[in-house]
Amino acid sequence: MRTSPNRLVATIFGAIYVVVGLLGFAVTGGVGFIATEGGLLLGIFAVNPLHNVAHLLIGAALLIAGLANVRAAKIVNTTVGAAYLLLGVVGFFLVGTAANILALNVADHFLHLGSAIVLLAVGLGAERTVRDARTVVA
Amino acid sequence: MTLAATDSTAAAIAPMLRSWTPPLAWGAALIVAGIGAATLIADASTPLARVTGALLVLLGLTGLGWGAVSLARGGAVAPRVALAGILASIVSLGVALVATHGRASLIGAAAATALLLVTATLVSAERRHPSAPASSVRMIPLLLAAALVAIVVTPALGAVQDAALLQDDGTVIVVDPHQGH
Repeated sequence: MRTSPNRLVATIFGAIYVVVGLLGFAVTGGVGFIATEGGLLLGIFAVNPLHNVAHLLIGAALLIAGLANVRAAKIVNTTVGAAYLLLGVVGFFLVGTAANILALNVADHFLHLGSAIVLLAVGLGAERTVRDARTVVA
Repeated sequence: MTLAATDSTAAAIAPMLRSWTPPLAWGAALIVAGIGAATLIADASTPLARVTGALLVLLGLTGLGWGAVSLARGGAVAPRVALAGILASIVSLGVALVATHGRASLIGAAAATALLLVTATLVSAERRHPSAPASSVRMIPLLLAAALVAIVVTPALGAVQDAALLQDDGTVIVVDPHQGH
């Protein structure tokens, strides 16, 4: 795993997101499941229970893929990265509206954008030969 | 420093700079698409502003796709087309500012233009000094690029959102987040 950027990034990001998801429940006591204003994790990241569940699921997917193999890690990194990039734009237009069911704030956007760029870039740019090798074998 | 030493330094730096091109393009594309979407949906937008907004959304989405393909191929694909797209994006941002009488975010447009110009510089350099596609993305430059782009893009998109909610009297629409609860 040490030699695979995709597995390394998926495992590290997966572990962080699982921890963040679990810690989130410590600050969302009494916060509605899809409340538009959540509790503050580490004093800056706004989260509600749905946001915590999303972090747990994304973290689990990344962690499992990272521990499994390079191909799985590439696919999950790219998919999660693309989803976060989309959230990076759409999320801004949700803040302050009733549609902000993830209780997003500016700190969340920063984290999501940073994660998106790293995950997507590693998923698309690292270990290109994995996909090519499979194509040749096929 | 000799010419050979300069060349070897440039050769060493090239893959690192190449790692920056897609993240910078993504950052610019996100802001361009955001300004386009804001211009498109704003109540006060004129037909010209809406057309420009639609064009900016299209250019932004194309930029996101171009960055992804370039990353997957290991280098800037279709550099001339990319440079034309960057030029079209900068001109469209200017048109959007004029057509919306300054309602489109000036901070967002400035940040997008800065990122577009740096991207154009990197693409031009890659076009002038072509090399074999990189075998893999470089992690440290990538992490630095991701942090820088997130730092620039986050407040820029926030400014775009504020500009989209700006009313004629200069105040911002406040939506009750508890509405419907």
